[in-house]
Amino acid sequence: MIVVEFRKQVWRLRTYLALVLMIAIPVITTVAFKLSGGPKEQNGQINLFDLGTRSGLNMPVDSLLVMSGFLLPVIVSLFAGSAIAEEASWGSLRYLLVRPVSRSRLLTGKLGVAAILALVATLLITVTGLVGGVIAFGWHPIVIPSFTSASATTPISLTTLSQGEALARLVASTFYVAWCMTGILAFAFMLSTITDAALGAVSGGIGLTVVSEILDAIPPLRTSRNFLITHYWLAWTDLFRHPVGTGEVIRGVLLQIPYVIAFLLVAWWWFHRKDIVS
Amino acid sequence: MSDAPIELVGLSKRVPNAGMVVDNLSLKVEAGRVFGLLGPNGAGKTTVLRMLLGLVHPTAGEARLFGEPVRAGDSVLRRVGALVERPAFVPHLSGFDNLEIFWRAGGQPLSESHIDDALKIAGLGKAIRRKVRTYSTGMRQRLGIAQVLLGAPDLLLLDEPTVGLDPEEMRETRNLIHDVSERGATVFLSSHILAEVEQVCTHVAIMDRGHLVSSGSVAQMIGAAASVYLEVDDVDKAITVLGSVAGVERLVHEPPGLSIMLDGVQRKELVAALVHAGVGVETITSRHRLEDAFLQMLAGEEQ
Repeated sequence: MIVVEFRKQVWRLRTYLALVLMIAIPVITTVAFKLSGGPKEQNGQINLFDLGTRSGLNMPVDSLLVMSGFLLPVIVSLFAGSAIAEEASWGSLRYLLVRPVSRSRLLTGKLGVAAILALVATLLITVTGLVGGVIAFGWHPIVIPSFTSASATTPISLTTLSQGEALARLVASTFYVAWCMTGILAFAFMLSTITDAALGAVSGGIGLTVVSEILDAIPPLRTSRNFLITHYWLAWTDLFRHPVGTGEVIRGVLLQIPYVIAFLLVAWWWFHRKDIVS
Repeated sequence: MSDAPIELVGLSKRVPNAGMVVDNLSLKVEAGRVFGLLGPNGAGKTTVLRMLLGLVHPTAGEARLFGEPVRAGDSVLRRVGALVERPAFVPHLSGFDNLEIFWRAGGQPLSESHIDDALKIAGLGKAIRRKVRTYSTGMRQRLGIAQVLLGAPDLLLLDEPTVGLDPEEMRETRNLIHDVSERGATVFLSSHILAEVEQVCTHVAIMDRGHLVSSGSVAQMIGAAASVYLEVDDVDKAITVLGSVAGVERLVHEPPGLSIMLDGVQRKELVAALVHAGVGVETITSRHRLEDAFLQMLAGEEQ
């Protein structure tokens, strides 16, 4: 089922355009950094984004920073939100079920393909940033901000990590970013089982991202913000600081689990009881 | 429990804001028959088909295929080929690719299908390699029928199978249904084109507002309807005269004459009334048509 579904999605202009975008933005960012010499430190403040030109290994970090907050969730919502709803809008959903393909097998196949494409999109950001960065700025140890402690917020200096260590943290960060997308993916997929309008399901995934990020920016919400689906999305940047911070990364991993379980349970329950009239 | 290809036992479906769209429907279709399900729009025919395929959950009762209660995704559906409302395909893939991914979605390799026969039936030539979004309605319908026959099913469920086809294609489809039936498959189809059902089907069931009105062989149904066709020298006067004759159920001007459905009145009484009014009767012939039986039964239901 996954192979069949993958074949349906791969031969689509939309899929190519989405993945090309994942390549184009890191390339454009790298070229812009190269031509401009990169962003300058503001008032002596050092941040991770400003270090993009220090090493080719810094560029994929900047690429993930640029894209993981909004564009990647949009792409993930696109793949997940259109999974079932688009098949329903074409009218071919009923023929698949009559083939017969069990409803569970159909959901599993489509969810699997959406997840694979979301992971590929994330990997493309990192790989493109890395390749472009190394070509533009060379294969050097990565430069990261240094703090007085793991919880400190003001960097005091810069330090370097070996290429091997940097690559390991880059791989971990990439998979962490991909994992952080699972809650949005599950939500958009759930909407896709409820509505026959793919645009509605995709918009729902994007809407959840936007609402969560807006709420996350409201300080009076205090600790309740810790449960917002996007709250720990940037926690992976703690892997690129000295000393390294892992507390928020672990919380970020755990936070997605109940969202994924809840949304997928609803998707399975709803799709099994639904009358297919499209 | 019988092994009949189709058995409906007290099948019912309630839809919010629409009420009972199928109400306590019981029906059995024996193997090898070509069975037509007739009814006006909104009678519940497509809902019955969808319940037979596990696409819609019944509110009450049971739908059985080959003796097994139908559940979504049941393996018994491998013995069924279905065309529901209209064919539908993945628009950015070619006709051939659509057939292939449809077949392989069931977990079987393409070599286990009857793809060559299906392609021959589709008769799309080189167009089979074009994207489906470029196809006309007729081409999609042909591809849909080919998809239905991919697995050489024992049971065909067809919803309006000749919609969008030109007269020659309609005839080919009727011949195809006949050939499939000759090979032993059972065909269950719904159609609004009563003349076509009369040509193709051996048995029919008539539905109206979710209820089964009548069922039986086509010959039985046609025999129940009395209809004549009159050619007269003054059509307008004849319509006025016959409109007041008791027992004239339905009077339709079908040039060059009049089609009249009778209920309890004899032909000689019609002729006598016309002659008495000075209308010349040129010919009078008996007609037994499924359409007449269908309309008569629906009229009886309304009363």
